[in-house]
Amino acid sequence: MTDKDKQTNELDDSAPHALFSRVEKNIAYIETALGNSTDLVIRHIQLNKTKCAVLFIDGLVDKHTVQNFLMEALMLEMPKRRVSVTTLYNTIKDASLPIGELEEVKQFKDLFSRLLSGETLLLLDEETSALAASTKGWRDRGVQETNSESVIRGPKEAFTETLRTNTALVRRKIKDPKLRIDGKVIGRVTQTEIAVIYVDGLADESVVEEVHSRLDAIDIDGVLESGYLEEYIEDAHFSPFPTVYYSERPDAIAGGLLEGKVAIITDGTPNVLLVPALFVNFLQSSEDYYQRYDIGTFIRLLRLLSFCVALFMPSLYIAFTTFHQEMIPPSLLISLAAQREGVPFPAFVEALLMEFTFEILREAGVRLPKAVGSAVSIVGALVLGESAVQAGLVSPAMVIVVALTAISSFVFPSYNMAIPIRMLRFLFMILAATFGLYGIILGLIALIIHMCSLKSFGSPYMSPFAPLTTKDQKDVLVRFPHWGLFSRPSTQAKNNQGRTSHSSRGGQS
Amino acid sequence: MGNHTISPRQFMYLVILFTVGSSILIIPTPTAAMAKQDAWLSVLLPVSAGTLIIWFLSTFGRQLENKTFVEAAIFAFGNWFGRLLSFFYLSFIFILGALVLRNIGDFMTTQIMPDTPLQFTHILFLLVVIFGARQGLEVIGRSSEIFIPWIFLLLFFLFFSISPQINLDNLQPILGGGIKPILSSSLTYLGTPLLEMVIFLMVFPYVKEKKKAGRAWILGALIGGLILTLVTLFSVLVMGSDLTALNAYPSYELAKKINLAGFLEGVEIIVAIIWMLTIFFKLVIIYFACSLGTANFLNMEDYRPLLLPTGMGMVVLSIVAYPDVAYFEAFLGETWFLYALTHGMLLPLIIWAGFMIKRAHTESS
Repeated sequence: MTDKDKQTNELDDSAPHALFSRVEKNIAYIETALGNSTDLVIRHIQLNKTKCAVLFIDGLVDKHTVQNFLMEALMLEMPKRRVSVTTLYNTIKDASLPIGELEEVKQFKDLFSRLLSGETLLLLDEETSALAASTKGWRDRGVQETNSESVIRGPKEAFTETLRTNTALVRRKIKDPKLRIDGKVIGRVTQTEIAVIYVDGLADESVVEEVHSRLDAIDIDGVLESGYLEEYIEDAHFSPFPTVYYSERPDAIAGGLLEGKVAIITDGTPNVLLVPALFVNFLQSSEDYYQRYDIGTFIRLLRLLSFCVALFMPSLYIAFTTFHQEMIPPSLLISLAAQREGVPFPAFVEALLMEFTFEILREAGVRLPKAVGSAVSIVGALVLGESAVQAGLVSPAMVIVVALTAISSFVFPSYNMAIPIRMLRFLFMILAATFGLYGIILGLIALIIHMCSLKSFGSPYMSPFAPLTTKDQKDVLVRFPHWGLFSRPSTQAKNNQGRTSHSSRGGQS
Repeated sequence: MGNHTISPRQFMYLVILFTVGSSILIIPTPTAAMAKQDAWLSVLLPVSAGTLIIWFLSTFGRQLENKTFVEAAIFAFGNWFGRLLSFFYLSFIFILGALVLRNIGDFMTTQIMPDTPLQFTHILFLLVVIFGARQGLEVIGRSSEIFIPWIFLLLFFLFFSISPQINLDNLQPILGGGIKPILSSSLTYLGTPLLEMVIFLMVFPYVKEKKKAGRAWILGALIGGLILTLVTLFSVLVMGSDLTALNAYPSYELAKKINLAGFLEGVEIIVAIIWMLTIFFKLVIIYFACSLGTANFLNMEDYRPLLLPTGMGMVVLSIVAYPDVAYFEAFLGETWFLYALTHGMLLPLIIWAGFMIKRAHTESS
């Protein structure tokens, strides 16, 4: 912490902690602190001859609740005869407010955090504690269908931007009392709420502890998305590979929790983090478990294949056409050579040109407004693809290679696993252009060694391949039928490994 | 450095890779030259004899408990004489590393990339090796688990797809030249890789469950030896002993002959991949042992600062080590066995004896 930070903190500390007894003074203090913000609503009322004030932030509260329950109860159902302020306060607190959640507030710090997160405050004159009624309710977009991780079979709902909705979505899937939701607030200015979720008895305690300690160590002014937290808590800061999994699908997160993982929900984003994350997790989709196991297995193998295609295809093309022509079957070699006849660039430059073009098109496609999107695809597909070949800038084979590479990189269910592939592809292209296959294989060895050196919250990244766990192979590249998935992955669920009972399979066997 | 340990299974994988690495390039030629059609026997024979060597080494390794070979030498023979003996051991590892590096360099420049200078081939390979050695033994062990299935798959593919071209006549007459040429050519296999196994005494302290690890060592050497026997056998079966002896890289020639139904040909790159992977692991083990041993020698806490300087020396030595492949073939046939015997058998025996005496001495006093 720098000196300046210390000073601001000291300034904050010099402010009075406890509430004043006079309501005007409290209001004045709040108004100064909030700088007379226009969304602060202050309603002065008289209850039983006592001066009171109702405060809330417009837009963060559910006005319906405030009017129909809080205000109505206060103004219509108060004791008629004169009572002392303490009795009045206690009556409101214990008897007359039809509101689910009501808390006493004695400190200004607490008061501000409640007021600013959408609770309604009731201040009474001559009383040094205020009442905070939970009236949170703002416009959110509601639980909608996910559009970044869509499935054919399986639940369609996705997490929203509201933390409580998200915890409820998880809770609705796992009704075990052992589901733990630990709260946290991170961000000095944004005061973002964080929830750490795990199933007690399934999750490894040391991982839960590690998650807590890494989150607690974060000192940052604001957390606007779970990506902020991810970069703080991930194991490998200088690796292109993600060591934290994220998803906006409640079923994927619940599935992770059942395997003994720990989820981190951040208020304000639908992307929920899941740790420990292994390499294979990024190649698995929750739909693998909903479709039958045979197609689930096939698709997983297909993903691994497309991982290799997306990573190596352009570099292999460069290596073969530049260095190892003798390894291409003669008829194919002749046709390739004929295609490259008029191309003025070496294969490497050609590949680089096309790959960059594709990356630009992809980025433009993501950012563009929907209305212009189709224009980009026309320009991309027709003008750049077709015309570049006709103009003799690139060979048709190169267009096929780049197209296949591009499509393959979209196969992964996790977007963040496509990112290292996108970047490493260029590295492999350079290796292929300088050392041919020799360079590619050495690059591959270095890549595997790097991946084997990674860890995610204590679990080796490449497990269960390295270190090899035979028991866990049933749910990695292949997916056994559900009755065959009898135990949880042993790297994450240290205790309580059993998952099914063997007699539960129906039908005839 | 105590934070990296490997499991007996990973250790076994490393032993297999070490056995196959670079020997798969250089074993078939001299054995076929001397033992003719019985070349495969002159590989199979020392494989069984090698069990004895490895049994001794693993017993020694278990007695060393958590000391590396260099630490044991210094413990047994004191600061000066112990260091002198370790110097021989380390120089053996270093020279072996340079030769192995040159093997892959020679292969690359003669067969695959004739236009790329030897130096750059070596430097690139060594950079990856340094990167691997830097990550420590645990990571090396784990990555061996990733590669081993692929190597077996590729080997199976090689044997399977070349099998239509087997000509059994090439093997006959079995023992046609008597037992003598087999015995004398089996010395080649004893020299490389069996006697080189002494290097694993630097790795052995980091293997968990020493008893299982000893068995894994023997089993790994057997599997590796079996692979080499098969490679030699298939080379002779397909090409005959004369052609095998004439080729510098018979197993590469073998893969060139693959032709399945006219569409699957030119897949010799598969063999090149097997070679590169196995040689990489051989070199990374050598490299790890060399820099760790030097660190022990110099009383250093960490071996990592030594990785880059060792590499610079190794690149230079690998280029000046011998002028051409013919020189190397002669060196391998005449000199290497004796050189490896001195450092791979005699030296460990001396240190073992000294270690046992010293241990008994310290225990009694």
